[in-house]
Amino acid sequence: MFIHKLSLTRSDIFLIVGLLAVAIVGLGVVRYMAGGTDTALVQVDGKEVIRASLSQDQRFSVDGPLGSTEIEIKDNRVRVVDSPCRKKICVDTDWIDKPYQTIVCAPNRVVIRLISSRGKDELDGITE
Amino acid sequence: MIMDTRKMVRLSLLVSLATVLSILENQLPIPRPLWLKLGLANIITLLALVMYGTREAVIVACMRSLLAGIFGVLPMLMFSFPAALTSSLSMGLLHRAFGQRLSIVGLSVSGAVVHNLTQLAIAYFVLSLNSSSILALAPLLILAAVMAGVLTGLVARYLIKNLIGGDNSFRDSGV
Repeated sequence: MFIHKLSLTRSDIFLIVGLLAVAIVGLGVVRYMAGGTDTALVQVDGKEVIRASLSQDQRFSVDGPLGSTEIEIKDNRVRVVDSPCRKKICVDTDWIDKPYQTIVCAPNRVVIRLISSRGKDELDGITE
Repeated sequence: MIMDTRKMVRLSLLVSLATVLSILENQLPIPRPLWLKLGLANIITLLALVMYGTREAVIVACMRSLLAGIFGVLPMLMFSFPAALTSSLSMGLLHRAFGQRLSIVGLSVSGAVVHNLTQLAIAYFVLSLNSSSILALAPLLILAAVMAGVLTGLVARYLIKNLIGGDNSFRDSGV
């Protein structure tokens, strides 16, 4: 005979609460490992061009297929000041300051992302 | 496995129900993150598990996965088939191990979690998206699985209660 329990049992509750606890602790660990950000990584056409520290205020430009994209670092944030592209989405993205945020200028093939200089693995690996 | 005609017909019906649910779910025009699903077909796997047992549940889950794959996106079988296998198997084994101490909802939740973690493991090892970034998804997948598992478990409970009537057996009871 295959008798089956329908009402929630104590084991059910333990299981569900246990799994939720694991998930929440896991989320905390992931967040902790992702850490803060201290470096802006600039890529053109998928290749790394510049790795700049966020602690140092500066302005520089990188060259893409359309021309040069001007980037500013100030107060631990990054933005694109000017770009030769048409829609200026990268400029409109404005400042970014959180780990793994990105600014993308597809026409000029420029990608700026915020990484941690300590981390060995980039969270964006999945998309590449 | 000895199978009489009635059982065979019932299992076929369960497979087709599960397949339809699976296909339907993939085409629901509700906004959701691309790879998160409720796993409605798991309701039928649970039903098969309660009606017959582990082996039948595994058969229903695997057949459903294959059929839904054929009618859907074929390469996705690489993810869905192993996940269907491990999740139905784990639900059966857990049921065997815990018996009455774990209800339908508990089984559903554990099946959902095993399902998601299997797919994550496939992405990590087989596709060699060898990056810790993909493992960072694990907590999120567990969280989603628990929620989906509770929901489908409750639906399965409601279904079984009304189909079979309470905490009783209906194995070969002519339902």
